[in-house]
Amino acid sequence: MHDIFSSKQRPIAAIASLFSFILVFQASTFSVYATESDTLAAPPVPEAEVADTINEPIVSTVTMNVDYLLTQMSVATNTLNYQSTLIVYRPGYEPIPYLWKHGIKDGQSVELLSELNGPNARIVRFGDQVSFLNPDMPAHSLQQSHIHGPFAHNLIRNPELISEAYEVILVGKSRSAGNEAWQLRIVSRDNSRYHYILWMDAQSHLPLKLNTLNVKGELIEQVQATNLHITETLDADFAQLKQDDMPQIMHINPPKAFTLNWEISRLPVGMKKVKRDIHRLSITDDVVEYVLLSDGMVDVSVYLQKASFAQPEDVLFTKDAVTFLSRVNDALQVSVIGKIPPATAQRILQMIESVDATAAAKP
Amino acid sequence: MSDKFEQLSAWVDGEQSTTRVDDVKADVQLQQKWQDYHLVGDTLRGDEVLLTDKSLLESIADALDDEPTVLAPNSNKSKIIPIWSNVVSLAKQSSQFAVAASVAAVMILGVQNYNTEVTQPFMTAPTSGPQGGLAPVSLSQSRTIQTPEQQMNERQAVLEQRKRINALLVDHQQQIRLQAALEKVNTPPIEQVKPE
Repeated sequence: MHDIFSSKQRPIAAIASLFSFILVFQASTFSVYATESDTLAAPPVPEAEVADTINEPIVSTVTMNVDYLLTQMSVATNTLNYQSTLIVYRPGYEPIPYLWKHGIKDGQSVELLSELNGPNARIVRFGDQVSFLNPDMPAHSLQQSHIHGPFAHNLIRNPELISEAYEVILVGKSRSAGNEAWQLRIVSRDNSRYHYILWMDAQSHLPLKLNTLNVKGELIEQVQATNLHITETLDADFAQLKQDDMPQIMHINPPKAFTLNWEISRLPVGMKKVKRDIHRLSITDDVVEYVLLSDGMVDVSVYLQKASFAQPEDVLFTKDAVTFLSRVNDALQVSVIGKIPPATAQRILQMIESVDATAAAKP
Repeated sequence: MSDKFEQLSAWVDGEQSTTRVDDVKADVQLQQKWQDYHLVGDTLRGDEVLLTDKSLLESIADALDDEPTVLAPNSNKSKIIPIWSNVVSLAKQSSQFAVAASVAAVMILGVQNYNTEVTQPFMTAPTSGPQGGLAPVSLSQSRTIQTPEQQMNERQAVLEQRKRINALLVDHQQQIRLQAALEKVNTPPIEQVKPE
């Protein structure tokens, strides 16, 4: 090596190396910018795919738009006869397989969700009646608009309900569960929620896959369909099931009027209070003051209760993609629970303010 | 009598059996056994077992509370004994010597105990800054050697805290489920909140 660099060549080599260093440096800074703006706006799409969408504007940009696709999906999920096996995976935990069926029986929508492993827990829906058939507890029915399944229900049924908090972006075409699929990104408008990527069957517009990503872009939950069958006629299982065989609907009494003397002064974009009440926890019988927040995709619970214990530090952990944060202050414990990033849970917790109970009383 | 239960057991396991559904329906004793066998089976298979009977859970919790605390950590004992038996054969002859030695060992433990700082009873994750992935969930007990009383209080505190956290997590799931009912039955008055 030494004899190659004679005294004349040495400065040239030095300049060349300096130049290449600058190049590398520029490239790296450029990539940093790119990732900063990309992490939120677009997923790490393979380059070939990006090229595809640019080169073939046949359907993707001209006739396809996000609103059309979302509307088609909500129509498809609510009206088609279909059956799909879904696998819910969270890193670090065992995947959970589900069977999901939907059909139209006697003009009303019927739906079945059953866990394929372990005890045979099933949820059956006839229209607005959802029955829980679970070996661990007595069978019961509730009046509900939907089954709380693996796919975020508002996304696949009422996409307009998430539009305030999330922006949906069409990424392009890709493939999932053996089918051609539209790939959509669901991005929180103020970047305070988890992000989602949805794969939708290009032919039937039914959902095939949903990834939940944290702020760093790491996968925290995945719902993946392994197959999807769409049939002309109603599934045999539904033909057998009779609504009359299901347990009677239990009616839940609306909470009594009351006032809470605290308020969450600011909420993340699109997040709304959907419920507030005072109730007892079923396990400890502790009385809690409660507020339920929702942005259409995720629900967040905020609890306020008396604390008879000291807790010098906040408790924060994430389990099953659900964040739990609790803080004890002045003998009051405040807890925030939901599928939101820990930083957002903390922000919500900090925005809790005490207010004058009489002034806060609303009609 | 025992044959009846054996047949039931085979039936629960899905093997050939003379037991019929009507037998179980008619016999309260068999019903109790039927439940027990399924519970045992679920536990052996490692399925999630949900005990709806609260009294059992509470009795387990009580039993844990009442459990006598081990005075000295086991690991130390097991290390010391082979050394005494192998190296110092005198110890066998003079039991007083062994007693004296163990007293000394306890003293050393005691001194260690007083010198160590009292560490935080719970492992809590840092709350500042965004945290991705899975934060440590376990509220593992600290490793410092403590007096039995401290240990007991600490363990109780950990159990209590777990129970409280669990109660909130379960309630959160219930509220989410009930929310669907709420949406349909009476559209809640949605308060407009000023966005950030």
